Amino acid sequence: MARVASDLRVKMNAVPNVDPIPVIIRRKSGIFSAQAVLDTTGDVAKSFKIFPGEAVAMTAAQIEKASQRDDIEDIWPDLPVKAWLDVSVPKLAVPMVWAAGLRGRGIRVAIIDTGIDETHPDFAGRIKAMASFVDDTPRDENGHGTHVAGIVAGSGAKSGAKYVGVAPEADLYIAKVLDGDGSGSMSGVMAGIEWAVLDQKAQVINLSLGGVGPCDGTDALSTLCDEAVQQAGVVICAAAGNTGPGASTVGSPGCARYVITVGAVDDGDQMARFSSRGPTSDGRFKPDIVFPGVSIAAAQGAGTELGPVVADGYIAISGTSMATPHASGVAALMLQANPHLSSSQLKTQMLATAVNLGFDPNDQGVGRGDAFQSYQKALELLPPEPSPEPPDPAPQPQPESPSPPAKPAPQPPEPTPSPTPPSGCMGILVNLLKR
Amino acid sequence: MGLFSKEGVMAIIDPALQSRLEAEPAESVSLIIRTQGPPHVVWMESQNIKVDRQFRLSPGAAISCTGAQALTLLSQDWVISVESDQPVSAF
Repeated sequence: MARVASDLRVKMNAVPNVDPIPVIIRRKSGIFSAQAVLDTTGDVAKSFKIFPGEAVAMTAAQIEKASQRDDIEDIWPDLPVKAWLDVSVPKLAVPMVWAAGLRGRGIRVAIIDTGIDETHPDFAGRIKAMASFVDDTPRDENGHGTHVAGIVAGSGAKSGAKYVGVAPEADLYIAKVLDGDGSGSMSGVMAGIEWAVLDQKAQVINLSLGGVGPCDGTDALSTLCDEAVQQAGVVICAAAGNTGPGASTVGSPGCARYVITVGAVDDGDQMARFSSRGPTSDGRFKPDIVFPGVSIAAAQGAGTELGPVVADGYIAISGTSMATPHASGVAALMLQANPHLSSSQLKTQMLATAVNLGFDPNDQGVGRGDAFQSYQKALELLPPEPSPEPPDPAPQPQPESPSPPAKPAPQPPEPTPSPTPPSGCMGILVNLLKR
Repeated sequence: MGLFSKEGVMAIIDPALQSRLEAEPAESVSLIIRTQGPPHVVWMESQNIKVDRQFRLSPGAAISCTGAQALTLLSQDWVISVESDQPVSAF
């Protein structure tokens, strides 16, 4: 039996029986016949590559019949795109951090994905290094990596600053570990992480990828991620996965202990049904936090067709892949605010400032991230500036000392009141940090 | 699975993977091994085990070999664990 989304049920009852309703079908891997869907339903408008599924137009009766099939997992309404990067970024209060003068400048962010369209104007001058671990070109032949990079650090140049990423001045380091179909191997991802950490000195790594859950965090990829965080001090943001809403569906490396595992919500702060859920197979809460990941519009790779075009050079797609780069962008802003933050401190503060949405910790982690609150917490942890030396009766030449890190600009002109975390938030956080 | 020092102990392997290797000894497999110290590349190559990548953050390697060759790794005292090089995909 397939799951039929509740809002689709409402729509099925509201329209005449003969009217086709646009829907998206997610099928179970490996036991599905496209012809079977054609026989049962209507014309396939689009097939998806990231998960096995199709967009089709079906009458209410056809949807009902399809819902009886064992080879179909979910049927959702194909809704108009409404939550774009120009919605999600303000929702996280990112512009308030920009107003304080922080846009990620100089922070080294690695995107380990399908490569990048380096000709997209939104990345001009900021792609510092590229490498491929799957073929002979880091060019993005899928579109996923370009979109993810746009959410982290797109400048919005091609859209007249409409679709601007979270940290639009960050430097990008691109490791291609997934092929044109969006597939790769754990060992390839591990090689990409090592390149980013050891050769490029990346400070933030975005992993909008992974394997099938459940897992306990002791597999090779998760272990390597934890070593990178602990030994090299890099911040790793990893997608929870798109196999929700069932329990224990977070896959590697999302189950690693020290990464920031990111689930997805929509622009109304409702859990995305597809967002993978915890616990891990050894009983830990995951994900750690959620960010917007439904119908996010960002950069389109040239020649790729991963989702509907919303403007020239921009497409909208959904997934925890789209939520994760929001977290990576916030991490970049926090590191610019306070370069002394350790990866552990950064994770703690990002989680401590999340807005508790009231869902189960294995759905939302601590809640939805907030860029401005995270930034403020990062500032609070700045080391005190050295106090002036007492007057020396016999002045002597002073050795040159390194300058303290530049303190970011003061508060934005019209700061909004800090939302007080609901009472349950800290309790959840304490449990999560025990992982 | 976990990472432990091993002396005279078989390398850690998922029982399902071990069964598969034993059932299909001629089948080609892609694996990740974690090792105590650098992986013994010369030894593996002498056994016709192809070393695809060596890792630097934590000792280990990605290898390609047959099921039978993989089983020989389990008794090597420098091999801590053997696991499948699993597929990953974009989310």
